[in-house]
Amino acid sequence: MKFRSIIFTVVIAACSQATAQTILEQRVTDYLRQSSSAVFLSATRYVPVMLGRGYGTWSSPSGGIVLDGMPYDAFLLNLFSPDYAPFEMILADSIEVSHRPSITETGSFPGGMISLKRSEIPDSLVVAGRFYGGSETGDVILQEYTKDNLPFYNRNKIGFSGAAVVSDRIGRFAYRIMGGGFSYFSVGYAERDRILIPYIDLPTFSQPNRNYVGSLEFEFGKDLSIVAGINAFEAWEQAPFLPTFAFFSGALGTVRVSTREIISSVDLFVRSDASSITMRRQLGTEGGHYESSVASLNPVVRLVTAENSKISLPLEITAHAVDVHDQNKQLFDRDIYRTTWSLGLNAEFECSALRGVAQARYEKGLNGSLLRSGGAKIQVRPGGSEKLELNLSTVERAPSLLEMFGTFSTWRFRPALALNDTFRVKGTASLKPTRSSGVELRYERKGSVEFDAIAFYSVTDNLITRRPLSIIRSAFPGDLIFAGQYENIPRRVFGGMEITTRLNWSRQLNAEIRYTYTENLKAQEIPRHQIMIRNTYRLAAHTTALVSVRGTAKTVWPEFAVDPAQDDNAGIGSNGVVGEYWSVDCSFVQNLGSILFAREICARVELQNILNRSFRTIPIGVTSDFAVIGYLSVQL
Amino acid sequence: MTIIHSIRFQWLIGLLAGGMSIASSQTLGWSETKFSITAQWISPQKEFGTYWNNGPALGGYAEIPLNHPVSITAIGIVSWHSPAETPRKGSIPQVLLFQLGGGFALSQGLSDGLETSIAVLLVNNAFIMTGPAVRPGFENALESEFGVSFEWSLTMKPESIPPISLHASYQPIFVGLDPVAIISLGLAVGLD
Repeated sequence: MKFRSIIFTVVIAACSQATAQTILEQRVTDYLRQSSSAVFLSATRYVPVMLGRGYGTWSSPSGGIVLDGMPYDAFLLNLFSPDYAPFEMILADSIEVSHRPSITETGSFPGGMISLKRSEIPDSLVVAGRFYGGSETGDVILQEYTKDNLPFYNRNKIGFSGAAVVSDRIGRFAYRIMGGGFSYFSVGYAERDRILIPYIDLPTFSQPNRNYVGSLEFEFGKDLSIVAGINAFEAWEQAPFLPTFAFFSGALGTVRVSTREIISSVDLFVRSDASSITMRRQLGTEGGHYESSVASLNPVVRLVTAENSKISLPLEITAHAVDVHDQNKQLFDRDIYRTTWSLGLNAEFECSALRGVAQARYEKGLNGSLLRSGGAKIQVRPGGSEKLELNLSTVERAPSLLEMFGTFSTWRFRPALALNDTFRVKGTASLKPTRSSGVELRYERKGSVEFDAIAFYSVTDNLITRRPLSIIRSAFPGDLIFAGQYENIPRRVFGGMEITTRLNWSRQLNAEIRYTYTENLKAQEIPRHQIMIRNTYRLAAHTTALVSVRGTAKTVWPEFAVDPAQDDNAGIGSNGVVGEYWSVDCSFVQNLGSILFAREICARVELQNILNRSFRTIPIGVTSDFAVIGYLSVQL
Repeated sequence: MTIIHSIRFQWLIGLLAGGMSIASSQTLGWSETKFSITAQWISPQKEFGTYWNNGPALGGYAEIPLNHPVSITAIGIVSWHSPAETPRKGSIPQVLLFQLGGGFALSQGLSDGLETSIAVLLVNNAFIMTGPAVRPGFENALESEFGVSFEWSLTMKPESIPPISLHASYQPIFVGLDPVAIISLGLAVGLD
């Protein structure tokens, strides 16, 4: 789904096309949570990890983030999230999700991909900003002085956040500079989600999750562009790789150069993605640090570039590196270097109502194995408003360096054993590649009643996941601790359907209903039922109201199930079940017009979870509750 | 928290009603925006009032007409609150309270030169602790909480001098374990 269409749905009629360039949303995942069936999983709400239609697992995500056509490959500790990419919504031209195994000219993505595309740099000087801030609950700033022995209590807030951009084009030269900061915090309630609070101490009690993003873009004519971006962060989270909750800080960055026609019929893409993460020492457990980098040279030979047919030959050579400090024994205990390459063939043709795409990719994976992937898409337009599409794809991926060589140990005192027991998560060097294959059949109809139906079926062989060796709830501080090892598991099969209906009742009222069914017998961490209902009311020429209802069926997480005998804290264990949850959100969008130097100002007030239903997305972590969020977008 | 949230939900309904009232609006009358400065006396209530004193406040109002009698109103007010005479006085710092808020106002003319209005505002209250009693680790503590302010004002518009308003408001603030509140009383002078 195109990003611009969302803007018209959410901000429909309230803000003009020009303001549509600025976004009245929080982060990419907040937008995708509303507009797609992707499942976002996070212990602290704000460091989400995406899970697709069963192609990957929480501990080993298999999706990809594609930034302006090139993958971003330097995510850390399997914390796979578009909010951690060096990208900002204020730059967005489109945000698209593919849930099926996907192949592009620059990569292959067994669990699908989120494609983030920047808008073109405008032809004249543009200065724009978007800002938001939200309500807080549980702040005890007064009671810190008026009550004795006050425990650390939930602090749940969306801090003042925003981004600004300035851009201009001077002859053939164009530039764009963007900077932004985002602040979130949710500690959780001691009595119902005792996760983060035990780790908190005075220095970290006021330390929220933060992201700082920035980017520089330069264009020299239409054929050469250079982009550099960074996303620095600090966050509390249960990283999928780790056996324990932790506080992290670090940065993810990239530098990319795209050249068109560097020699006749050859485009060249060069990228260098790099990241760094530091985990803080906590509860007697050593922290860790590592740096990851990926540098890639990606020439694409355009063999045929006719209007109705295109054939290209993408080549790629990539260097991967993990660097650790001396004496570092956590996360990685040694430096690792690998080189991979790939060779692909993409062909597209179009004739009258028929369009076809065929793709093949042959590559050397990080574990040295040779991987074969391929895909085909056939699209038929029987009428002007109808489209029928069949997608077949199979993608093979090698295990990541983390899944092969990662390691992390922590310990907890076990009263029954009267000793400190060590819990270790480690990779397995001999992991086999995973093959994900999928079939997707899609029917789409436009008109006053829009209809979009997708049936999907997926098979994954040798899926990589972390097998729990032991799971306990510690006597102190009462957290869940894992020991586990990455391994391949046998074939896993998923199937399901997604139906979306858009009803344009009138100029004042339209509605969208999306229902997703996933047959999840093999892996119940994917919800069987998901439903989203969104109603948009145009109250006046410059005023729009939006009401949305989101429901998700229960999920089951064996990775978080604790046997009562292993529950050293309460002795009751945990079934690893996340119950079904509903959330009702409501927004008002008002175009405030032009004020002083501002050409257009648009405001939005969002009331999230107005029924205050407490819910979480994975068995551990803080619960979400009611929030008021105010947004402002400004264009000078 | 449940009680807090249920109270909050009722106010939300009021807020939504305020939002709905702009449904008929088409454009904002920016050029007719009215500004005023205000001096107030703020009385903290509940736990805030037990441990901190009443304090003076200074600030400003902005009122942007929508369709008469509805207008958008915004406030920015700062007040000072010293510790009250309690056994804890020595360990309690002075509070600077910054209120920033916005909402909707409904006005009604009573006679020539006399107007009354009521308003509901969503207010962000920043509590800044200052002085030697600030706890280590909280030296730069700036925490904010939302509150909902219910305001009443009476405005006199004499021909020879700027408009003068009498303001009174009650604002519950959703602080931490137990909500607190403030009562404000003051005068505002228009900058026409």
